[in-house]
Amino acid sequence: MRCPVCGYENREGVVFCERCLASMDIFSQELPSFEEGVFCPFGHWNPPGAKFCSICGAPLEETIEQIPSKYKLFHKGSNKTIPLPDKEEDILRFVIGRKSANSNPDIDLTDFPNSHTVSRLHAALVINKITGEITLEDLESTNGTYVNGERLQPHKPKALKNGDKVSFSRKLEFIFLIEDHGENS
Amino acid sequence: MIKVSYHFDNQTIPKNVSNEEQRFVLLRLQSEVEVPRTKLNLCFVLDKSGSMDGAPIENLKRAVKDVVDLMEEEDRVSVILFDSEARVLISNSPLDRKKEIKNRIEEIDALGGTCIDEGLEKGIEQIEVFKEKEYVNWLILLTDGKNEHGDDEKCLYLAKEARKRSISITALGLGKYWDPTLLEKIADFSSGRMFYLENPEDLRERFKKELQMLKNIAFKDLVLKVKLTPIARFSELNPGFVVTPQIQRVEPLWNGEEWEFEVGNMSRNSEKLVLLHMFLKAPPHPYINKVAEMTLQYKDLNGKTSNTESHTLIIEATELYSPQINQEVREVIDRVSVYLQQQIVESLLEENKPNEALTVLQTMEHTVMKLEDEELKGLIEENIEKIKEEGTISEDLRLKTKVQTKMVMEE
Repeated sequence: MRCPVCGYENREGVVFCERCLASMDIFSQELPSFEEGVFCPFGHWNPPGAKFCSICGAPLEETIEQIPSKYKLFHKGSNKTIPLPDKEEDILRFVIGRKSANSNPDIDLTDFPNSHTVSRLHAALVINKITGEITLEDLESTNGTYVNGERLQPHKPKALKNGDKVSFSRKLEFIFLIEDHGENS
Repeated sequence: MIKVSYHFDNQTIPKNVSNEEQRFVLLRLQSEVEVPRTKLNLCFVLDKSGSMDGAPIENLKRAVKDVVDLMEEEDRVSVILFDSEARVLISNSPLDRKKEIKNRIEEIDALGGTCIDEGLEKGIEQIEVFKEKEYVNWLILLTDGKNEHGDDEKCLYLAKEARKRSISITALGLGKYWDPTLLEKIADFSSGRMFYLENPEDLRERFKKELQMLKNIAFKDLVLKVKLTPIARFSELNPGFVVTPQIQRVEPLWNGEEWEFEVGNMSRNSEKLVLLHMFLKAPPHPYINKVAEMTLQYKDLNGKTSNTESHTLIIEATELYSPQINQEVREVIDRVSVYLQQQIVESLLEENKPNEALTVLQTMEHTVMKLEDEELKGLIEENIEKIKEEGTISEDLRLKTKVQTKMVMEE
């Protein structure tokens, strides 16, 4: 586990970086996020209205037009649905995690219950539109990624199908849904 | 007497953990009973190099004379002057003839280079001339320059040697051309303190404050003795920190039976925080597991050595493990993280990596916002601004930030 602040390679399972005592993961939920401003894709904070990251130069504005998506994650507890936006790309990759000073996942689970058990960069969901293959990969999360109750090995992608139960840590479960609209009707 | 209490960041541990679990222990040391007046054996080791000419040397003379006036007759004082070499201006004397001592101080002229180690060496020698167990031994080192004519390694050796002889060092840097890393180590290795004096006018007040602090010392040579069980070990990188009044990284020494941390002195009716950083293996027992035995050894002003009662550190193995962190311990960890990250910022700036330094500074800013430390927040924001504008920071801002991240409270 690499420290997001000082880059030190820590042993597995540390909560605070052994070198600089920065919070590594699951307790960082109380790290106050800047109330205003935006994070660039590499996690640098910028004042509101900035167009490019002042640190790394990455563009900050969402320029990609979103196409209505047929892929969704559904949270039973709160009855909320997270769309996985389709893009003009053959392979869609969504990093799922918790937004913080040092992470900017595509899908931010901060507002869901027990989100403190979700790692900043927890898992990646990949949709290959050419082969039709959909996989979920655990990104060395602290509390694990589960598909239908089975814990994934880190970096070993697991195939997903419509209706699978996916959990980011045992405490936050979603149902993966593919809605077929269009082709059959 | 001193009492010790402790908290783990999390006193439970999951059963059958596969990785080592990281744990912090926050120790709270509290000194309780009033004790006799503190008797001082104080040595000034003063930089009289050419750069001290003018306002610095004049303010320094007044500052030392102030302190002499405030000392008691049975206290002891000695003064060493150093430039590119060192000499004894006033050998270890009682304070019965203050006028004579002050006249000697008035003679000081600023001239020559800088050799800190020779000054330290002669200072320790002078303290050693009069070494009674009832006295608090202290050395105040003041410099405005880098150790150009001396040997840094020797300084560090002497700082450790001072601690072995129950001598602590207050290291004061004046202006912006001194070496903060060297002075910090001199202070830390001797369980002393370090300060930054921006202007010569700050000398008198700082010297008076140091004397007040010294007069309040009630317990000295504190040693925390820890016997670990086989499930526990200390972090190799950062085994422990004295947190108050200034953050000092402490390294334990093995005495053949247990680990010993030198944790310095304590004032009357005061509190001191110490943070230990350890790793625990899967506990062997289903519920209560012993992690360590711990006692604190200290000397009082009669020179008597005492030990606190032995504390047993316990961790509870449970299936109902919850990763909750004790909030008080959490705040201390956060405060120490700011201190450590400041050092990382310094080395990133030295390597000319301002963007990486900014990322670390932003994390520090988050943390101090949470800790509600306005002064530190202002300084960190100034760092961020300067790096964004100029790619680096000025030397005095660097010094100020370094000392402020180290300073948790003024005694």
